[in-house]
Amino acid sequence: MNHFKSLFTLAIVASLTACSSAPERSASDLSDEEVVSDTAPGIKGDAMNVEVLSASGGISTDGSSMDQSLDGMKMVDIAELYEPIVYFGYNQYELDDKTTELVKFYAQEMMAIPNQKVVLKGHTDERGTPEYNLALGEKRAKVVAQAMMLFGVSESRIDIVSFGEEQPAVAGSNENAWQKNRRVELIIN
Amino acid sequence: MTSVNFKFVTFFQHTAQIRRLLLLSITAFSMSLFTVSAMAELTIEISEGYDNAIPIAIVPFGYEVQSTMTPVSSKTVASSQSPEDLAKIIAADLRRSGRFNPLSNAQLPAFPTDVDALDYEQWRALDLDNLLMGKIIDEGNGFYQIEMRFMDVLRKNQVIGKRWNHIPKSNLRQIAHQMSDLIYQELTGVRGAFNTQISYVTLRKIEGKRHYTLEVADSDGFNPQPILKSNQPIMSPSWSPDGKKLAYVSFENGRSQIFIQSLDGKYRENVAQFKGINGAPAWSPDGTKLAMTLSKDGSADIYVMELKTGNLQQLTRKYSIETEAAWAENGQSLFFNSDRRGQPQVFQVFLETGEINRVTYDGNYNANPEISPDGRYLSMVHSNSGFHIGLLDLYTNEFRVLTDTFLDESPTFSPNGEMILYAMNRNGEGQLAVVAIDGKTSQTLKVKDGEVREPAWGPYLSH
Repeated sequence: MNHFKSLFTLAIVASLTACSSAPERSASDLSDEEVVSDTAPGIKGDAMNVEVLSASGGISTDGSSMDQSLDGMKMVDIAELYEPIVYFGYNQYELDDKTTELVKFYAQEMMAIPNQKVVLKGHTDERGTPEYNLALGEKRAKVVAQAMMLFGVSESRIDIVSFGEEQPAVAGSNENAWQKNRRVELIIN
Repeated sequence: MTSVNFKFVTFFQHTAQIRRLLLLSITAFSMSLFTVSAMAELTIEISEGYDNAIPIAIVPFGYEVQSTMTPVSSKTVASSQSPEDLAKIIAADLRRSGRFNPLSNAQLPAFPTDVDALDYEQWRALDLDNLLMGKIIDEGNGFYQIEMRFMDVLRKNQVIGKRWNHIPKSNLRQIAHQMSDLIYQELTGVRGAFNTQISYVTLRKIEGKRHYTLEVADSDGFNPQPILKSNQPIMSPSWSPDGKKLAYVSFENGRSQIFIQSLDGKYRENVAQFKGINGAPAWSPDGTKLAMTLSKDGSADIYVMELKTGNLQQLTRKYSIETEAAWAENGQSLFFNSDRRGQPQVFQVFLETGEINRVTYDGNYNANPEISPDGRYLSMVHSNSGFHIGLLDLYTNEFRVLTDTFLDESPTFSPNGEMILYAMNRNGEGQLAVVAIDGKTSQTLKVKDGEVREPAWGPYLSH
C-alpha cells in the first residue's frame, strides 16, 4: 500500500509538471547521441521536484490546480511519467524506497513484454578519480540489475555497462550538475 | 614543417607580494596538408617559482651556413633564418623547473657564440655564474650541426662542450631539451627530465558530440601527436617502461577495454575484453606484465596479466571496489585503491605472499596511488573536503597536500621524480598542471579548443 501511495504522489506531481513543461521523454529517446550531448533534454520534471513537493504532502500551493491535477492523473500514461533514470547520492550505490519503486515499475513493464531487454548504463559525477568512478558506475548499474532480477527479470535480459564520469548528462562543476550525473540509465528495447 | 611562435607576457598580482605569474603562450602549427585537427595550441602558465631561483644566461645561438665547396664556414650570421630558437626552448625549460631564472635577451650585454668572443668581465657584473652559448650550423639538405658551450663565467672555464652532427630539423627541439637536461644535471645533481614525453587525452565538443583524442607530446607540450581518435571515451594511458608503447582504456566497442598500442602505430592489440570493467592498466617495471582492474568475477578486483601468455593472476577478492594498481619500483608489490573500509584508501599487496596492508590514513578519500621512480614517495588523489594531490613519504611517513587547485586527479611523476603532472578543473574545463614534489613551483598546461585530462609522464628516452 505504501508503494501505491508514493506512486500516487509521484503521478500527481508528474502531471503537474507535465501540464507546464516540455514534451515527455520515453525510453526510446535515450539514444547514444543524447547521452553524449551537453544538456539532457527532458530532465526537467525531474526527481528533485518530486522530492521537494512530496515532502510538503503533495499539496500544491496553487490550490486551484488541485482538482485539475487529480483529473489529469486519470488520463496520464504512467509509462511516460517515469523517467527511466535512477539517481544516486554522492559515492553511494544503494537504492532507496523511491528508486526501488522506479526500478520495480520498469521490471514489471519488462515482465509484461517478455522479449524486451535492458541495458543499464552506470554513471558518476566528475568528482574523484576516473577509474574509481568507472567501478562505482558499475556498482550502481549492478544494484539496479539485482533489483530488477528481484522483481522477476531474468539475468539474461539485462546488460550492464559503466561509463564512470566520462559521459555526464549535464555539464558543469556544481552540485546541481553532479546530482543529475550520478545515475543509471535504463535503456529498454 | 613546423613553425613555432612564442609569446611572453608577464603579469603582476595587485598585491604587494611579488608573486609572479609568467604566461608563456606557445603556439605550434602543424602545416601538414591533410590534418587541420593536428593543429593544437598549448599554453603553459608558471606560477610560484622558487624565491632563490638561480640566474642564468642563455645566449641566442648563432646561425651559420656551411659552404658545400670549402670546409671553412661562411660566417653569415642571420638569426632570422635559424630553423629553431634553441635558446628560447632551453630558457623555457629551465624556467619551468622553478629552479632557474634565465635572463631576458634585453638583459644580456653581448651575444657571443664562440669561446674566443666571450668577454668574461662583461658577465661578472650580472651576478651570475653560468652562461650557455652555441651555434647552429646549416649542413644543407635540411640537416644541422649543433654546438653547445656551457661556461662558468666566474672561473672562466668551459663546463660542458658538446656537438651534435647531422641533426634533421625535426629533431632540433629534442637537442635543445637534451642541452637543458645536461645543464640541469650539472647544476642540481639531478638528471633533467626535459627531453621526455607526456601522454594525455583531449576532449573536444563539436556540435554537441564528444571527440576524444589520445595524444603524445614533448614534456613542454610541443609536437602533440594524436595516436588515437574516438567518439567514445579514452582513459588511463600507461607507458611501457621502454617508452615505445602505451596501454590505455578505450570504449570504442561500447564498454571499457584495454588496448596496447605502439607509438609508431604499427602494433595495436585489445588485451583485455572480459565481461564487465577492463580498466586501470599499469605496466610492470620490467615490461613483462600489466596490472589491471577487471570485474569479470563479480566486483572490480586487481589482476596481473603476463603479456606473453595472457595468463591472469588475481590479487584481490573482495565485494568492495579494488582498482588503480600502481607497481612498487622493485616490481614485488602493488599499491591500489580499495573502498573495503567504506571510502577509498590506498592498500599494498605483495605478489609473493598475497599479504595486504593499509597504507593511507590521512583524509577520508585517498585514491589513484602512484609511486615515484625511486620508490620513496606515494602520490595520490586526496580528499577531506576538496580533491587535491597528496604526497606520502614512505620513508618517514610524512604526508603533505601539494596542490590547491580544483578537482585534482591523475597524478603522474616525472621520470626524475622531481615533478608531478596532474589533471585539474579550472573554469569548468579540464586542464593539466605540474607541481614540484616540494610544492614550491607549479604550472598549468591547457589546450585552447578543448579539455585535457588523464596525463601520463613517459620514461626517459633512450638514445
